[in-house]
Amino acid sequence: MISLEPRKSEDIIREMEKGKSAFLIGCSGWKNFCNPGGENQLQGIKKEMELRGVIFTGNLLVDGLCNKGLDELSLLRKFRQIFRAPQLLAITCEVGLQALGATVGRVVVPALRTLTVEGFEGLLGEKEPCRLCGDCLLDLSGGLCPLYFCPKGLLNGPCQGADQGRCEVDSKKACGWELIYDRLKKEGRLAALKHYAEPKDHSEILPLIRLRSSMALEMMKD
Amino acid sequence: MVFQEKLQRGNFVITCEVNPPKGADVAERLREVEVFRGRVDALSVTDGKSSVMSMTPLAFSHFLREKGWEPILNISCRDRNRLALQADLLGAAALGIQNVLVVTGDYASMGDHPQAKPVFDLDSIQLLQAIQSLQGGQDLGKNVLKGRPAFFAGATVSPIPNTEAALELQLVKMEKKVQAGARFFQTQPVFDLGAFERFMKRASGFGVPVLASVLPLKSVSMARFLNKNMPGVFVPEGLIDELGSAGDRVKASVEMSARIIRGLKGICRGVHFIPAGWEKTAPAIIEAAKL
Repeated sequence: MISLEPRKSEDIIREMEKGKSAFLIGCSGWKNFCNPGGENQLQGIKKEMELRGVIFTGNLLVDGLCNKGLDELSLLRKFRQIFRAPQLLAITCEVGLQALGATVGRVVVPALRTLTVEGFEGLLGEKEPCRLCGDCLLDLSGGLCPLYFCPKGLLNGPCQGADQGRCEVDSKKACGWELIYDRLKKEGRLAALKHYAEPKDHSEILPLIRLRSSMALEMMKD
Repeated sequence: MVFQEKLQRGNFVITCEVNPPKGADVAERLREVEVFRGRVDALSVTDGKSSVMSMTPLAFSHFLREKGWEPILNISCRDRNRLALQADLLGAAALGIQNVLVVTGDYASMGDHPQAKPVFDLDSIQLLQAIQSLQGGQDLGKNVLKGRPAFFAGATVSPIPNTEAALELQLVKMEKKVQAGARFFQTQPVFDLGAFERFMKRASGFGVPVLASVLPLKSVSMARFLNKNMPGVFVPEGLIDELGSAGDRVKASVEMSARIIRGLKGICRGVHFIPAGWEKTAPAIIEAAKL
């Protein structure tokens, strides 16, 4: 089960381009596995953001945003509305965000925080490109997570170890930050690199501690 | 006059790399650095260089100060989380260490303890911000400190990386480091003065002094090794041929390094000399450069 929770509206607003419209995209999720909230969540967030002055060019609910093929087909349906907005607000987990970012080629701002993945070890492979930090930077890093693509998890740019675009830790892999650079360049958004990323809040990252403390809370209730 | 003042006055400065000993005996390493007495402005003390475990540079910097040297304490993000980094910085300030050089650090798998857990809780820019925060009287948890440290903080930059993306990223990161409080920079070893000058044309706008690293080329095989294995280091073929065809290789190498130092004098604000085992030959290089 992937657990998700809505981000604070003010955090979302801060990351969106001011005065610019957005396209709202939601995800139906997969029964028993994740619950990004579907239509209800989409309408709720739409209302909340509109109250705060965000103008949406349109909205769309997709069955599984983590599926790139499905994303491409769905985006075609609302092609005009999507490309009238310079940014998308996406109500999905961070796997969905990355898939969407790779497909749509523009700023994707997350509306949810991905907190934990529990009980699906057999299903979720090692390649899951999300470290579940609960504090997503994907909109600033071109949809490629530096925590995943950089072995050092550097948040403000690369170290000096890359050689011919290859990572110092594993020369079979590309330098994550050079991938981010190429993606942002393609999107005409290199200015995003100048953003200063604060140190990660690790109290938000350790799912086991969260789990343990919530279990402790439950036990205290008895 | 201390290192900071010399840089601020516009003097061409020279620092030298020192690696703390692997072991508890400091006497031998302290004797070795004596060859630099009167020849360099500060000693840059590495923090587990290349992820090889050695004595903490905090302790070794203290011993250097006791002997009258001015240390530049290197502090790497590889081995310590934000608590330990801040704790060491407070300790350094209390010991009278003023200069710090912030580095990301090589990955643990590159060194002699590849099994170690790499930390990287903060990156180099966040660590510079942490230093600013401590200097402002608060730690990263926003708790008030009793006694504020005051540092002269520097950072590193790789001026000649081999892809366009890497170069642009280095410049963006350099700018972020300046904004986060870096007041001087130390580079990867420079051999190609033309390429370095092109980098400096773009980097000089940040208004922060840059010290270019100078590494003596001891042999043709060393040059080939650097080109093959050391990211951001490029030895031009001309220099390799010059060394290969020299009758007296050591003499040729000394003259080559001295020439590079003289060339750098017109391009940047100082040099950071890396002896790489050539402590005995290093004074000849510095003399030959006639700074």
